Amino acid sequence: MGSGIFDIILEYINIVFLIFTIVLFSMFSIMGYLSTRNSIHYRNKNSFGDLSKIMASPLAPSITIIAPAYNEGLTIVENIRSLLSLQYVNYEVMVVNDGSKDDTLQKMITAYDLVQIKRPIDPNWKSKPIRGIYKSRHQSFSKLTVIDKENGGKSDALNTGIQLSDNQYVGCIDVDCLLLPQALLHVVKSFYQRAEKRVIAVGGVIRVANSCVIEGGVLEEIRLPKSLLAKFQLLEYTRSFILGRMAWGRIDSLLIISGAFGFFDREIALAVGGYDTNTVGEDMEIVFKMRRYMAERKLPYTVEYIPDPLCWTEVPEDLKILINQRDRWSRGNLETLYKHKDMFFNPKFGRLGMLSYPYWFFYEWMAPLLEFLGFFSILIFYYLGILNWDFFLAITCTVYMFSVMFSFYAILWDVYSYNEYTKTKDIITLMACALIEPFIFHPIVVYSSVRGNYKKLFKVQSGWGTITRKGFAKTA
Amino acid sequence: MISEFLFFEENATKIEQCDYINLKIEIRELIKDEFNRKVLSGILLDLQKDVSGITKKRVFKLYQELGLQEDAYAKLKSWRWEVVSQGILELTQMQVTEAYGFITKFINDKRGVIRKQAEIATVTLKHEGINYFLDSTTCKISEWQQLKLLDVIRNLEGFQPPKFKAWLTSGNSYVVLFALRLIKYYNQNDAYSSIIELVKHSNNQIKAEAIGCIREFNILEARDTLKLVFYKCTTDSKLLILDTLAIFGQREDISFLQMIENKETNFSVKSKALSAINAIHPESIMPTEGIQHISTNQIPDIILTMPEETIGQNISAEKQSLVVEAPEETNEPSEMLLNYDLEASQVREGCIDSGKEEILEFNFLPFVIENETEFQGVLNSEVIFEEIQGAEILNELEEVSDITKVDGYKLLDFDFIPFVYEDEKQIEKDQLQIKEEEIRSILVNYEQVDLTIAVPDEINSSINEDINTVLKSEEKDEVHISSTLEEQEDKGFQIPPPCFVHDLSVTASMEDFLDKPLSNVELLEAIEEFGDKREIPLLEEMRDDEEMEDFRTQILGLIERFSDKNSPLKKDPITTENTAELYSVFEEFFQKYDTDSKVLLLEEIAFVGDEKELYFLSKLISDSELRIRECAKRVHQELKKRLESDKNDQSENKEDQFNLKEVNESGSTTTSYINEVDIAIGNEIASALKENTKKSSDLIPLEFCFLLNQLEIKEPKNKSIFEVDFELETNIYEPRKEESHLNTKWEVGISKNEDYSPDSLSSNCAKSKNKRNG
Repeated sequence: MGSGIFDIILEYINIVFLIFTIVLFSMFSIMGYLSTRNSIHYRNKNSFGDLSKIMASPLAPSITIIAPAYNEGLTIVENIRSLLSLQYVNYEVMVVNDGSKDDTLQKMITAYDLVQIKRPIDPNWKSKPIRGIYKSRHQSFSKLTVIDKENGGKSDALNTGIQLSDNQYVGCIDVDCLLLPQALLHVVKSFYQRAEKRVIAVGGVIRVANSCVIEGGVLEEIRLPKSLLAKFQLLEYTRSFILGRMAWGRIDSLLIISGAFGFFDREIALAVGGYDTNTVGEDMEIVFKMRRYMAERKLPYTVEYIPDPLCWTEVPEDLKILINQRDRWSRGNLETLYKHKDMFFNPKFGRLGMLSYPYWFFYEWMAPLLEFLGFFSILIFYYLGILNWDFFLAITCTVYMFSVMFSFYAILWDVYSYNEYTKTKDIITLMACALIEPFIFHPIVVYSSVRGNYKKLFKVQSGWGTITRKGFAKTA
Repeated sequence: MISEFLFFEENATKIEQCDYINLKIEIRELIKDEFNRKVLSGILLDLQKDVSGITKKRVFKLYQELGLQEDAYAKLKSWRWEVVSQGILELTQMQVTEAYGFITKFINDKRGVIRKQAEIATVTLKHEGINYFLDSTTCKISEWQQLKLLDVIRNLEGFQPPKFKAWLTSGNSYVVLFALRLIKYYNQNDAYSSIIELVKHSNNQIKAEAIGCIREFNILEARDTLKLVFYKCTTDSKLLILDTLAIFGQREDISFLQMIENKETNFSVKSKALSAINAIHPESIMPTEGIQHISTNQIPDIILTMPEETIGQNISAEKQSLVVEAPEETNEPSEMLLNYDLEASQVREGCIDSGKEEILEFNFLPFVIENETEFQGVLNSEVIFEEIQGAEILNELEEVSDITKVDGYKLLDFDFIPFVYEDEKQIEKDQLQIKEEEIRSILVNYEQVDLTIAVPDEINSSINEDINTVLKSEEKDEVHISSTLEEQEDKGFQIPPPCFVHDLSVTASMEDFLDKPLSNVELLEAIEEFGDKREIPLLEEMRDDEEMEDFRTQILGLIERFSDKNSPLKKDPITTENTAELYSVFEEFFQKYDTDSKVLLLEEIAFVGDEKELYFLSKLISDSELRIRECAKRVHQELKKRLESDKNDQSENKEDQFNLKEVNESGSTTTSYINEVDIAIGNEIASALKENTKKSSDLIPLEFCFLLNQLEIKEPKNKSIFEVDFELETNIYEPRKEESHLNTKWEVGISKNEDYSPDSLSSNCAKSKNKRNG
């Protein structure tokens, strides 16, 4: 009797895993298709016209780039220089020094000849006190504004920037990111190209800058990262941005805009209260809020995604830092999903409630936990001697082959679309990484996710952690 | 091959033209293949981006001559949006205006990319395309599309924009929005009413754009409408309205803005409203942050009860921080300002009601002290003013200067303080009553006086010398100056009435001193010692001016002595007593040479001789030889004339004697003028005073004025010595005209005798003789 029930449970588990795997495969296949369609459409649509012509148009909108800086003394001057050299006229660079303990502020003051200015600040705005607002004495740095405030975290710093900005759009980026000169032109086009819908946010691809040659804030040469961990991350980023987000963008169900390169309609961002300071997944949470805000008001809106490689950043090459980063991501994921749990299969929110949210719930949050659980189940089953070897090997091989194939497709599509890594050796290296990734890198990601969920569920205190930057000047 | 076409010239040779035609035939054959046509189209499409002017037009012509536009037309029939778009793009880029009619069909296509491409093509291919587009479009025009269309219009050559106000009534709100933007861009300010009406539009973008136009064109009539729609606007529109009101709002709008400031909850809007109020009526809104609330202007009790030392310290500290950034420890005197209020009238009246505690303002008086501790003593002292006689001012000044020596206080001289008189009448009233005898007894020994108010220290030093000299000669002190430090309660000083005495720039000349004789013991002594009959006119003048009997007697004695022909001081250069001194060097030659040489020598004497030669010539007049006699007689007359002329020049040059010492020191050869002169500065100072009272911008020290008044110094008769173009030095260093004339002659003479020694003279005479003989 007992064994009968146990057998039934085992069967159900098998069925659940099978369905989960089939749905996953289906989803990934659809994503591959949608992303391909979207990429082709994007390429065709953007083949007519020259972006630079409208750079100084009287109708060009104003943009503020907000870059929070915390202990970024090593690279801050170079990074600001890069931000000030973008191809656009009507924009402002607002660096928010979030109570850095190092000489970040002093370096900025010295390098850009900053002086403190006075301007009214809304006393009702909830963010940490502002210690000073600085502008440069030099006309050549007139686009630069530096805000010095007490430490309150990245979200708080971004909120301060959004509040103090006067421009139509705000871009929230990581100050250590490198934006390509034409980045803002693409962003403006994305915001302006829709007539029937309001573009409330624009996200873009994040590229890996490790080992690239960057001089004077300009990307001189694109190279494959030397570190294996960085190579794995490059592969993961390619898969995620080229296929994943492109596909979600195609069906207007993009739920996350990377914190390293995200632009928002300031009016809507302010209307939803800016970033949530109580979560570490603020970049995902603000998109949830903005979408929700528009959906609740039944206003036509969309979130645009730019597949062009416009933003380059360093990824962690240290295992501990990587685990902390992924730990934080999973906690942020959980926090956001929990906060907006009423959207789960809620038709009121359309595709957002019926498709995007469930996908994130099952395949972004739950998948690592299921993998972790499945791994231990296999060990238990093997120990109990009830492991169905045929099924196990078949499904494992299928999953492995599918994931490798998906990675290959992402690599090849990236080569076809943007051809960033021109050397054959680099492509082969990436493909080799795709082969070994499920055995080396994926377990690390799963472990980090489980740890993050554990921390969150059992309320283990944990913050952002720190990422030690080498600095772009040294990346070569 | 394409370049052959592009750069083919019509005036080419027959062979080249044949080659061109053959090439054309060859290309036509090639483009029969579809692939080749695609390649050629692609090349021409790329090429037109890289060339301009005639070459670009040739590309367009070639494209159409080869019939490549037919392929583009074919693309328009495709069902694929990207192919249609590509066809429209090709026709647009190659300026196929004939395609205009085909392309306009797509202007309302449901496929966005085709529609947008058709819109761009319509506007690009014909200038009136924008009219057609705005008239016929029924679709939404994205911001990006508007931006691109404006870019196309801006770059159209010779484009005459239509009156876009016609489309403000369009049913398509996007057309209205775009028309508003075009109106703003092309400054078409002929649609005020429509624009004002559009402020009420439900579309926030149109509303914002209309407000932008109102601001751009300063449409004052829109103020009421703006205020009307304000509360129905979004925050961004509200900010725009407030910005607009800030630019051309009027006083009656302030109440509206104040109401917004009171009722609005949005911080940005409130802040903008305040900003607008201040823009309309500056300083309506005053700063509030960090402002202390002070209900009365009375001195707080804590200050009234504060010990004087504390007050002094406070004043000192405040003034140090505000006015002077002196080092903490310095031996240099620090200049500090007192901040007491003192009514001028009270000072003039000579007394201050001690019952009233007035805060006096002395900030026009720089107090110079040695160190801070001493300054504290000054601050702690109480200054009491009392009326004093104007004549006492010199003693006051002396006492003030003596203050530096008493009681450990080392106050420096006050003599640099500019004392100000209000009017000249008052000066006359307050002139000091000092006896003339006493004044005349002042001994002033100046070789040169150079006073410039711009450098007060120099004046002060000289004036102090004068004052001290006067004071030393005084036996009785009529002036009493209180010590401001020790005897504070009983003593003080009175600030004299203001006097507008201005820019004083004095450069005294010897001539002035000589022309304006002052009774001066030293001068008389000098005349007695060194003078001769030439001083008689001066002495006579001094006699006339002199009132003191003793001095008159002395002057008369000197006149009598110099008038006496037997006087030893009477220096007649041709007297027999001076024969030894008047021995002429020419006598020696006359004893040795023949008659011709003597005549030559006589000619030379006319140019180079002096008084010695006159005596010698007078002897030759009675020479045995007729020729010598006549020549000597003539030369004597010439020499006499020349010497008289020189004498006159010398007397004229006496005015230059003032700078004689200076010249001597600099190695000048004019040492025969005046060696040492005793001068009193009175006349110069007086003239300077008189001269400069005409101006009203600058002041001289009060004690200087008093000194002048004491001395009864008046302006000199002759031309002012204070004139900027006074040419004393020039005359000294540069020969005058007469002198230069003489020098010219002299040089002529010298040129005849290259060496002026007797030997050379004789040899030259011999040479002359030889020449003549030859």
